[in-house]
Amino acid sequence: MNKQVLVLDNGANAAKVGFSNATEPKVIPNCIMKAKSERRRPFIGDQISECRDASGLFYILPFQKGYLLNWEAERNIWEYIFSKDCCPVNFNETCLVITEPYFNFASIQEAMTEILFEEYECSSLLRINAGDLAAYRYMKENPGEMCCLLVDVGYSFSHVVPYIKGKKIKAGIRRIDIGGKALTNHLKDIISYRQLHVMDETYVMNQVKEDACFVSHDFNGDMKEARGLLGKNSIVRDYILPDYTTIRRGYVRKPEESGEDSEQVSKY
Amino acid sequence: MAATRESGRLKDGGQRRMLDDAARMRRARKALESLEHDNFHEDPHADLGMFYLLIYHCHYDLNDFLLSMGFKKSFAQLIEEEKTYIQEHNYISAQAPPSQFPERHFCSVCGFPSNYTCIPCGSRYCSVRCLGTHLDTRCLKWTA
Repeated sequence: MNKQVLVLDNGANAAKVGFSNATEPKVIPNCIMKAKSERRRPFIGDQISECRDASGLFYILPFQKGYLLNWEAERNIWEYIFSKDCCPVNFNETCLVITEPYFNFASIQEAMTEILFEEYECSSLLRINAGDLAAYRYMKENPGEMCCLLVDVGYSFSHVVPYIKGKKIKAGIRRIDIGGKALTNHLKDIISYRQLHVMDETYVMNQVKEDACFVSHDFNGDMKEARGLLGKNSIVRDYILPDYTTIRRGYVRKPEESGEDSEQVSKY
Repeated sequence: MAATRESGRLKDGGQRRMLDDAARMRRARKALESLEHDNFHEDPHADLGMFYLLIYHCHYDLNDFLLSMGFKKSFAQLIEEEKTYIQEHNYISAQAPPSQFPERHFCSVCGFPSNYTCIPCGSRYCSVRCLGTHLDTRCLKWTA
């Protein structure tokens, strides 16, 4: 059998797509964005890199609370992903592995199967939880292991999933409804309250979060440290926001270079 | 600010509305729900329609197809449906219970650990300075 296998990890925030023999998948934002500056076109997935001014982006997300609900948007994104601009696929000769969230609803599963077989005419299809694949790989690489506990922090929620001998224990799955989306929105809320109104700037604030935020290993100690005055404080940073004329992407400025010359956002 | 702190707070403390626990819970839940929003502003090109100029146009109407197959459902509908299925483990049962550890409190203004509760609305604050800011800005703003 010499069929290709395409893997599509269809996440709520980013779709990761690639052939099984590729070393790295392509990461594509799983959304359609509309920019204030461009009336002509919506930006699908990574087309956003062609957008000159990514301020005030309006998002259309196919996923809601972690589940695929807006099929019209998703179809448009898939159409782009499978097109020659992104990841050309001949479905007649390709097996598709697509991921779905834990406890995906039956009607979503049916709709997905229906669309992939009927519209794209996939030759074969595997719908699976992304965590199953990670656990499978872990078991392959550590043959002696009997079990593993998988923590999947997603965009809409986070799951903790136990696997015993490669089998998922459904009764043990726990979910909290906090993920990257809530964190980005919380950051937006904090900054809008304290410093600068950024409620419209999801795209920029998501970059801020990814650049500047970290998980503390010593929460109380770090909170104390963050209270320290400038100069004695190892946590405080300046963040330079993009202005889309000279600065295309925001960045964290090194502490020694800090000054008062431009807009800045400091956080702990 | 009033000349002396105590008299100032006592004076208008009587006039202020106080929230009960249920209202505070509701408020906290609302704040959490607001973190689920995709956008906090209006579609800049709403007048151009939802899917103008998109590359893909269905061979047939995707919406009609999904509707006829019974696939087009809101999240609330899906949850309702899930409840009727007799399945031992599902979306609802996977919800993690509240933490067994006591809550940690953070100042609603500066974000540092806080020891005090705002009397009218139940938000946390850490110092008189933060309380002043809180009263001037967000106190009782989002109460339903």
